[in-house]
Amino acid sequence: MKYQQILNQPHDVQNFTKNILVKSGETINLESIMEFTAPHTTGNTLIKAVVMPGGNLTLKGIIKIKKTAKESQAFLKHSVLLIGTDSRAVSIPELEIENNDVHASHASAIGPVDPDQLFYLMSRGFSRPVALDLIIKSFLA
Amino acid sequence: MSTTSYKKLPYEYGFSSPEISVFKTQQGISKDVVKIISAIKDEDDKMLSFRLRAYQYFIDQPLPTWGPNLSDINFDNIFYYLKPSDKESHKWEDVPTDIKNTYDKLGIPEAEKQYLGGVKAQYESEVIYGSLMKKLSDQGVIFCGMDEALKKYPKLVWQYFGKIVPPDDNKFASLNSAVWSGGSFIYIPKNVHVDLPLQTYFRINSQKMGQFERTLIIADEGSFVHYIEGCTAPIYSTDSLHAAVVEVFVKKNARVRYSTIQNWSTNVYNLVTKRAQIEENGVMEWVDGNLGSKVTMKYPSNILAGRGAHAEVLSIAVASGIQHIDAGAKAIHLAPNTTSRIVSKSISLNGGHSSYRGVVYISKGATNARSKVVCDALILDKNSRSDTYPINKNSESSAFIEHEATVSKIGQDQLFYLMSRGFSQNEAEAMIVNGFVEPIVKELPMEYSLELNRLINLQMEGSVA
Repeated sequence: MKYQQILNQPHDVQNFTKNILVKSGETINLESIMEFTAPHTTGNTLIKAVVMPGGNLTLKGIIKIKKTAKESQAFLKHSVLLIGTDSRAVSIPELEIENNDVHASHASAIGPVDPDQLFYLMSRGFSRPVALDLIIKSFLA
Repeated sequence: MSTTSYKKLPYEYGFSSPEISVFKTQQGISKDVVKIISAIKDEDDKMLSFRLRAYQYFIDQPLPTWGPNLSDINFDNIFYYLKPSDKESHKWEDVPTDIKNTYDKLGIPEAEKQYLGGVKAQYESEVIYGSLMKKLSDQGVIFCGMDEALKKYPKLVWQYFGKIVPPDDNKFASLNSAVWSGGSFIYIPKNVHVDLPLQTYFRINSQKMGQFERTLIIADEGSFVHYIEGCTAPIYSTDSLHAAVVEVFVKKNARVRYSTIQNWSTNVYNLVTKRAQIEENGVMEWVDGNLGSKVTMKYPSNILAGRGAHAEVLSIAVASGIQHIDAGAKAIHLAPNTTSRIVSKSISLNGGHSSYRGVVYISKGATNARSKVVCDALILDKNSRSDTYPINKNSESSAFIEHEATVSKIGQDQLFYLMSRGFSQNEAEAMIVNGFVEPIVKELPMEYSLELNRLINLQMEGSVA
């Protein structure tokens, strides 16, 4: 899957959000490109994903800010939850900035379910699979 | 509001001495040149065949297609070996005068007296000076030139040489393996703690020179060493090439800190392969200052092979004018409970181009591994550029990778705050830049952090618009 957005109108604001569930045995590649060519533009990319056991995910997120895109703001975030023992994820967030009058940043995290959250829900009487299910659903909600 | 233009301080180490050589190979590289270098060094067949194998890999491999433009390097134009002196001296008085003057100007003998445990000085292709505190050699510490080590401790060298950077690793590692000369060999015995840093100082003096040193550090179980390298060169209109290979072995519970102050002149291509293998509970720290060179490609790599190993990379890059500094780090987690932290800061000014390029890989089975990568970039003017190219690969679901990066100019509100406190715009900007690099500069020994601060301290010229 490839998504491309170009911010070529001054004061343009664009957001790209995507929630992905990678099922067992599935492989998903997602590439998102946000290109800034006009001044005073704002663009945010937020991608959340859950990778089930045996799933495979590759996320590539590119932010390009051209010389002409003065005073623009860009942010990209990849959050990936790995479930089970055989799930994999790759995150490639890239920045190409040709302008000094910008604020561009990205963040990426790939990790397991927080054991504290799981423990809390289980202490409230949910079985492990139900607790896990709740956490996954709320993460993607 | 005034506008500020930024300039790096003029390059202070751009002077050159008349070229002196006892022996120099012809321009360009060929099988014969490789054979001549090996013969001059009086090497055995094993090393010669290693060199020739590497030469073939070098010929076969294309230039890397990613990263900075390297197509301007003319491999036929470079001198691959230049021997400036017949022998390595152990007293500064014995070093040939021209060379000694150079090092005096760079302040090396002074530094040695004050705060170093051992010094090597490499001039062109050979190590021309070496010293080590008696206390350390009594404890069994070995600190010598790589060529000397190959003669004196062949078994130890061959056990590690080329093991984590094989001769076919990449084009420039192959080139280095074929024509390598000089560099340092360090062995720290079990449980020996070397308190004072060991330093090697690399200097290129002649035009169109290629320097290909090879450094090998072995820190045995429970030991500690801090190794520092510094590099400078004169300014020429023709390009020079520096392609080093560094291999570091950190054994169980050992700790190695490797600091680099790279300040080549802006006609040097600096293409370096640095790699460390870290065993159980070992700690590897790289402090990497990249200020000079025309093009730098340097990605210190950490192979975390033992349970609980930790790697840390602190890198700083300042790219100005024609400079393209492509630096970064790699962390490869192969064992449970391994951790790594990569902090990269870059400043681009005057049309300079800086990039962060890195890989974090957590393999399946590296349970509870953790990695955190932070890259911050400052762009000071509109002609400069900054890129970030990280790859985070996690194949172990109990492991955690975090990555964050920001690119921005000097914050208007920070500037406003400082100016409201009575600082001029120039002072305020200088303070912000210094604060930006401070977390890395403070990790260096005092004398070097002062030096680095001074180098980064931008000369700013204010004018009222």
